[in-house]
Formats: sequence, structure tokens, C-alpha cells
Amino acid sequence: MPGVLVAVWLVAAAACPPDEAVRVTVVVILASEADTFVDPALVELAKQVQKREPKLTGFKVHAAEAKSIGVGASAKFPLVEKQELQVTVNRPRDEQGQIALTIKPPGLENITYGCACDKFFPVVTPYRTSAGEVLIVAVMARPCTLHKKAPKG
Amino acid sequence: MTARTPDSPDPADPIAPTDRTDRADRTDRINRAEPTDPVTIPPEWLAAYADGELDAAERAAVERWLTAHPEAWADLEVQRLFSPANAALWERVVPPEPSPAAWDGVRRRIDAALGPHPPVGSGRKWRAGSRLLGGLALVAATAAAVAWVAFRPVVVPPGPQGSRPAEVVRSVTEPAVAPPPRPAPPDRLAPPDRHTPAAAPRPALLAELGVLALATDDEVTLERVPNTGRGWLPVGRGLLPEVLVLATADEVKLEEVAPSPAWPTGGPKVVTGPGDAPMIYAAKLR
Repeated sequence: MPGVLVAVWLVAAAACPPDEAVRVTVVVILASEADTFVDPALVELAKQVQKREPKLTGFKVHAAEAKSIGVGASAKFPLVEKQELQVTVNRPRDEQGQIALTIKPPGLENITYGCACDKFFPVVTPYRTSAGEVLIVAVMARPCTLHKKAPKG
Repeated sequence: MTARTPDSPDPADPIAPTDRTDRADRTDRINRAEPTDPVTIPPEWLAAYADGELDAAERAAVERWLTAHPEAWADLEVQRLFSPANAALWERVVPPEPSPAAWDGVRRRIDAALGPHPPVGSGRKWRAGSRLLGGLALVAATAAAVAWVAFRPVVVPPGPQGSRPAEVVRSVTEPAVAPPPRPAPPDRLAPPDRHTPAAAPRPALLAELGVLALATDDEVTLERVPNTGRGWLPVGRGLLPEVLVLATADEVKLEEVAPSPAWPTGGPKVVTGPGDAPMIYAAKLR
């Protein structure tokens, strides 16, 4: 019996190695119909959003946050006006180079998807701020390398 | 952007007003110009924008111009570095202060200039007669002391009879160790503390730290930052890349979507056309 328990523990450890955390970056973006200022970091995102809604002409970064989340664990990211984004890491980077996440943005239900590392997946939420701005969250994940020397960038 | 004199015409800016003080007119022209028009904003407007000194219309005009000219962001960041908000970064040098021994020497010179002290409890007539003379001598001695502190070596004259002569002072910042001052008579001199300059004592913690040692980029992990532009944090790698790069359709795989009123049965349509970056769009404009 102890041998069986040891074998189970070893298999479990191999399936969920404790050091394979994922670093998730969430960018909180506010889009507006009132102004035309586009943050240079959001030029590509603005073009894609405007394909669906040309009336959104202003895009600015409200905040950016990064957290290291273990596989199977969740974390909450504060957005704006007490709204939160819950992120769960389902799988670390697989052989296709994708990390699987489940996110729950304001006003929406769970969305589970896989995305390539270092690329942003945006969600234009139905939430509008008190100033009438549209809340957009852009989520990016990469393997956590905080224990190593991070490259300049 | 190149600097121009205020009144020189700029062939690259044909619709600029001849009267450059007409800011409202210029604001209107910038807002009406097409992105490809060779309209420029005055260099000082970029600095004013960085310092938050423009009104709403001018700010909108600058932002509109910056959107059309992203190459100017580097200039804007330079202006932000020189913003008054960064004054504390530039004003780090603390001027040298004379040491306590140097101030002791100043007190002895004032003492010597005031002359011999009358015996305690007597000399009312002497006090009345010498008050004016003493005051004048004090003013002169104080002025001389200030000049001595500010400028280079002076030879301190010998003290009153019976005391050791002071040593030559080599520089303001390197005073020689002087003999301890003789005790002051209670009716002529205030306690030494009242003659010391009103310099704020340095907190003990800062005195122990000396020059503040900054962390390096590798020693700081930024977790959450508000949007205050780029270059405002002297240490730490930013969380955002220069441009957010969106995943392509091949790089995103939607696995499961819970039902929601925000999208039809079956889930949202993440790609609506060729060349679209996948995204979930659930906003409804009014």
C-alpha cells in the first residue's frame, strides 16, 4: 500500500510540476467614442476593434498588471471601478506553444482558450465606465521566468 | 522637430498663422488638418503638454497630432524627463555645511569683538554705555563670520588672554580642530545652541544611508502600473511592450465558452473576416 501511494504521488508530481507557473499580463484599456487619442502601444488593437465598431476612436491604457499563476490556480486582476478579471491557468505551454487559460471578464461568463505565448488576446466587454468608456481587457501569458535573469525589453 | 525662431516662416507648415500668438487659431487649424498635412505644433506645446499646462482644446490637438506622428513620442518622453515633477531627481547635491568646530570659531571671534565682559552683578553703567558699541561690533562680526564661512582660508586671530591661539583654517570644508570654547558668562552670551545656524538636522536614518542605493532593473519586479506614459519609472522594466502584438487566428484556439446573452448560441465569432485578429467583441454602443 505505501508503494502504491508513493507511485501515485510521483505521477501527480510529474503531471503538475510546482515550478511551471505562468506569468499572465492583463492590460486594462478604455475605448471612447468621444476623443481620438490612440496610445501608440494600442495602434494594432485599435485597428482591429474599429473593424467591428468604427465609432470607437480613442484608446488609452488605464493600467497593466502581471502575476505569476500556478497551473490549476486562479488569480483576480482589478480592472476599473471595482470590476475584476478572473484568470485560471489550465495548462502550461504545450507542444504548439500555447498556454490554456480560462478568463471571466465583467459582464461575461467563462471563456476557455489557448493562446500563443507573448501574444495578446483582447476581449471587448459589455461593461461601460461611469464616463461612458468601453472596457477592453487584453490578456497575454508566458512561462514564468522570474527566477531567471529577465531579458531587456 | 527642429527649433524655429518665433517669427520665422516655416515652409513645411504652410497653413501656420503668421501671428504665432493666436493659439486658438492654431488649435483650430491643427484639428481641421488631415493626417497627411504638413502641420506641426510649436515645440513649446510638447513641453507644455508634458507638464499638463494646456487647456482641453490644445491638449486634444496635441494628442491628435501625436497620433498622426508617432515618431514624436520620443521628443515627448524627453520633455517628460525634464518636467518639474522630476526636480527632486536633479536636485540631489547638498551644499557643504561648516562643521560644529567651525561655528565654534565664529562664536569666539564674535566674543573677541565684543570685548572683555564686566563682572556679574555690576556694571550697569558699563552695560548702558556699551550697548550700542556692542551691537555694532556684533553686526560687523557676524558679517565677517558669514564672509569667512563663504570664502577661503583666513587666519583666526589669537583668543583672549589666557587661551590657546586657534590654528590656521585651511578651507571652509576642512577646519582645523580648535580648542574648546571658554564658558560664556550668563549675562552676556546665550547658550551655544542659540547661536548655531538654523540648519534642519538630518534624520538619523538618512544619515546612516548616505547616498541612496537604487535597485537595478533585475532587482525590481513590477506587478501593476498605472498609465503615466513611458520613462516615468527610473528603475524597473515596463510591463507593456512598445506595441501590443495581437495573436493571429492560427495562434488562438477557443476551447469552451459558457452561454451568455452577449453572444448567440454556439459562442462568439472571434474572427469576422480575413486578416482579422481574433477577439471577443461583446460591447454594445448606445
